[in-house]
Amino acid sequence: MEWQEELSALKREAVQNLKTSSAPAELEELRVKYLGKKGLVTGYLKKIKEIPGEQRPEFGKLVNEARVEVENAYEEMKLVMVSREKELAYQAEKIDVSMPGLDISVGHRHVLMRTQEEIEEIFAALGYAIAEGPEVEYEYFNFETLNIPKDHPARDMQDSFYISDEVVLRTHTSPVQIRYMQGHAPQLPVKIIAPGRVYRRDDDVTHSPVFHQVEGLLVDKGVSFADLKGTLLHFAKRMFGDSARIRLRPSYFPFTEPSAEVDVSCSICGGDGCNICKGTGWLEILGAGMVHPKVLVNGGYDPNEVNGFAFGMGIERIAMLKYGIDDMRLLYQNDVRFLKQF
Amino acid sequence: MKISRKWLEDYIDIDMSVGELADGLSMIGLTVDGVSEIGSEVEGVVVGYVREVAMHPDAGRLVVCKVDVGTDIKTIVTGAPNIREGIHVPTVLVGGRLPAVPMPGNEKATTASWEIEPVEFHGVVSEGMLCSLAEIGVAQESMGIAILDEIPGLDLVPGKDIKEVFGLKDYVYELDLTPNYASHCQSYLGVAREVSALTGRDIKEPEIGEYPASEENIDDLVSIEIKDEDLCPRYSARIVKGVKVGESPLWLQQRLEAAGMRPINNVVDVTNYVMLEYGQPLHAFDYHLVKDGKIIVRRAYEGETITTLDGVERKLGSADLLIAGSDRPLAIAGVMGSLDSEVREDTRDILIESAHFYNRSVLATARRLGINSEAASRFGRGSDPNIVAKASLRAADLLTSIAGGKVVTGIADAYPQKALEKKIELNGEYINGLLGLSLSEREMIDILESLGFSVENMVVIVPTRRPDIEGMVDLAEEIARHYGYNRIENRVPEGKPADEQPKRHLKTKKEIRERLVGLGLDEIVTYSFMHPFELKRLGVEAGKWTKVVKIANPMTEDQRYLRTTLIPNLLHAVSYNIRHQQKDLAFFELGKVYIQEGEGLPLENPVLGIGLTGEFMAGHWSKQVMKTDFFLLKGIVENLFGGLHIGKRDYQVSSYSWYHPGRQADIFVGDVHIGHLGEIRLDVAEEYDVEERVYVAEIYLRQVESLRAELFGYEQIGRYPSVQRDIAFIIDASVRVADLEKKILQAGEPIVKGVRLFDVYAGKGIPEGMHSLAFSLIYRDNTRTLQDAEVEEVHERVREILQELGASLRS
Repeated sequence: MEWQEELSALKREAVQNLKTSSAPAELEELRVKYLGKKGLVTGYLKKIKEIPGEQRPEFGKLVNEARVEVENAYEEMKLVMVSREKELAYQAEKIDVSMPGLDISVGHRHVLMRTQEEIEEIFAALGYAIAEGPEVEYEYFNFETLNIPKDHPARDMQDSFYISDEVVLRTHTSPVQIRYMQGHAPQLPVKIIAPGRVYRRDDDVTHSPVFHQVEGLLVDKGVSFADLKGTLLHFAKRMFGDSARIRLRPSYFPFTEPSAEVDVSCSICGGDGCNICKGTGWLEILGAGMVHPKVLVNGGYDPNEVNGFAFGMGIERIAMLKYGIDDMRLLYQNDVRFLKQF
Repeated sequence: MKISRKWLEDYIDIDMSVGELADGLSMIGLTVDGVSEIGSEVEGVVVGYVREVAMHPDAGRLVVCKVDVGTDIKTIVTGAPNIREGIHVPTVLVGGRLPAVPMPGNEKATTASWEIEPVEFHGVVSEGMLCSLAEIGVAQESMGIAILDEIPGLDLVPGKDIKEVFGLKDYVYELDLTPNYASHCQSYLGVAREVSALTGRDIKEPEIGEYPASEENIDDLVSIEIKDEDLCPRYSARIVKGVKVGESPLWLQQRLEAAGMRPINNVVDVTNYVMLEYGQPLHAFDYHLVKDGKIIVRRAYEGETITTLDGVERKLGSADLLIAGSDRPLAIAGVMGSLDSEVREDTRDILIESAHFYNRSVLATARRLGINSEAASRFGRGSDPNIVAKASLRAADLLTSIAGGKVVTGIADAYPQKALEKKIELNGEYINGLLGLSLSEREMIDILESLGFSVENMVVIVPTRRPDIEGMVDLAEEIARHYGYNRIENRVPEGKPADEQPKRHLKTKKEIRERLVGLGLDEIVTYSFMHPFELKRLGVEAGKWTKVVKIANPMTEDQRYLRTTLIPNLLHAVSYNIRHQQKDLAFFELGKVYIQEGEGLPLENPVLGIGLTGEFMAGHWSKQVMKTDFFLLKGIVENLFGGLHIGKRDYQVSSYSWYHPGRQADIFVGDVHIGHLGEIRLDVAEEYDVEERVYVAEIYLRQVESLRAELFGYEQIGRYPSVQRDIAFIIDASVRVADLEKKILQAGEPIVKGVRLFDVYAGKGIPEGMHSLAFSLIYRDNTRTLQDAEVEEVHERVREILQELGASLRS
């Protein structure tokens, strides 16, 4: 059985060589050598003439099997080569991943507007509509209708910019309360926030002659101080996190009674006392109170039928507390190195 | 108002710590801004008894003393001229501390507080130092060392802490009083009453003892005529005769200083002291400077003048109230006395004024004259008309005990109409409803009574010292603050949401902000003001400034006008950043401009301002840099308008004075003018210290809003393939590309779906004044696949039209 051994050896040699070939060109050479038209394996069939007759079917079958086996080895190796080739191509395209990424300069909302939008969203979710009013305002709406007559002591609290005897730059967003109520009475509820610019003659590290406020007003049947507290606590938690607490201190605004200054627990130290909260654990964030009956009347509502609460907060103050900004001037300097942080 | 804890304890026992009292006061509305400790800088100072005084062996001007400091005898060297044996002197021991004191000759500077060390004087070591009153912070100034034996009433035991001897240890609470509490809490008794309601302890009013009285009758000495009872409902006078004007005793000076007032002399100090006690301002006149003892309370004549205590001549008008003699004005009622009627060193007989004035009139006068006196601050908030007589009696009593003299019997008291106590019905249901509480009537009444209100049959009688209480809500506040704001429940209200569509222009504003931020622009926020120069800087003719809104009382010149354009502030922001080495800027501001049209309030127009300079999206090593230019700005603006779904924009040549004359445009949609854009002229930029090219746009948002459709539909995506054909030609550069595009679209109707400029070339090979343009055209039919031949036919039409317009085709 010489031919069997010879065939078997040839097959082993072919498979071995194919499997150890290292480059596509070598693989192709081997293919021609073994599987080409005159290849050693394909050509082996020609030896059938030398094979005794009774062995010929057997010979044909075994040669065929050997060819298939070698072909398989070739195909297998070809796949390996292709994938190795691709791998090499990838290697050639290797980059230094430590190099910096593309500086995609998306712009930035101003921190005040970002904070204002945040406040708006919190109250929008509670069902508040946004109301607006003029910045250049009649004294009548800025003071008189808010229970601050001309010689009232409370006018000392706000030094105003005047345009004429009757026209001022509004010192707070509160005149929007009156304008909105007058346009809305007797419908209920009145449920608004009024963001916008306000103006006071003050300019130092903690005051700016132009600043932003958000006024809030809810007028409805059966609204109480407890509702005000709950609303403000809800706001504080959404704005400063779930651990935020609030504290109210009695205060005075001519257009609310009872009135309160509202403190939020210091977000820096969590209420233990630090530099930011001057050791008190509390930070003043807004003023609030129950709408004064005279203001309800001026707005066209009957204080015997409805109650209301109102609050007003400085957006600058909230933004400064939330982001730990310690100098008011940064907010209006528009230094890009500051702007790009928000 | 500054409250000394020790002084306050004269009127009420306090068993709260320093911090507890501060918190307690804040939580009932008397906001404590801070607490300072008095005497904390004095450490290790004791009473020393000088046993022996000997000349220093080697230094003729110094003496060496043996001083008994209780535990020990110390050797102390001093040069004080008034040293002698057998006296008690404040002695600071080694390791002790003395407070900072004013530097001699410089009122504003102080020394640092300092620690005492042993010091050698020519071979003798001094184990401490003998002190003056100034050095231990007891007096403003003093001569030589303090001889404690000369100060009456001190308990002098060698070694005793000097702070105990002088009662130096104290805490001062700085109260920040709101106007409503200022009416009744600008006094120690007022604060004591609040503390009493807080703690339940009773207050102790000052006792008025037996004072020496003169035989004379007040009515023979004084007559009062009130000419304006509205402004002065009550005026009274007492007379103390034969006082000796001089320095006040130390305790009185200390108390006034703790309350933040400067001691003047014993007469003025007593009136101030009683004012601080009762909240009733008093004024002391030299009786003999009041002609014939006749006092007239009247309005000033128009233009009448008076020189006040501070030496300033004041011009008054008929709104101001005067206390006058028959010959001249003596004081501006409730505000300040005149210089020439004040108590002097040789004054013997004192007229003490105690009065009640209409608070708003006092406030208006004080505000107009810019006088911020302690008296005006109290009268201005509303004082108690019924404390007038008691306060002046207390002052007369105190004065005789300090300055001698006798009190003339009786009071000259013009009080035509006694002020009545207000009565307010107490409606428990209303108050509970307002506060969200369920207090019983008893609980409410208890709180009110603790504050000195009385309640009969559910009617609250308001003491006249509480002018701030006007109605039921004021009572509700009293109840709430003493019940405790923070004990009231937190409840998020149930109830309907506001029944209102969100305002569209607010949504638009938000969309603009989001889009521009997405495009890489940073939002800025600037003041609404404008310097009067700004319009001139922009080259706007003076005649066009008439619609500017002017502020009557600006703080600075650059805040005199309200802005009529966002451009100056944009340029300021650009300039600020360039000066800080930030050269690549892309800014926008959503702000208002203010324009006075006719009468009434000015228009407040919302405007979008954009400013670009330097490189855009700069700063990566792998990318080409994009310089900002007109077309980048236009691209941003177009992207924005596209996103807002307003109609097609037309850019027309404009002539704004601040823009480059060849690089600017007005933006129109139809005939609606929605803004302008351009390159800032270099000479305008220079006005802002900017040398770079700056590109600016202003978009009028109200106009943009008017063009936005309520809803917009979508356009079907073409189902059939499109064919792209390019066309390039040379044409006179004065032919507007927008016009060419329009012609191409018209010529290619209905199958041209798009036309896009993709190349512009001028220069070599192109004649002067011409340029080469290349457009890409998209042909498509939405109902079928186009045949080559029909595309070719239409494209040929386009070519012909272009040739008619003077184009020479290149392809």
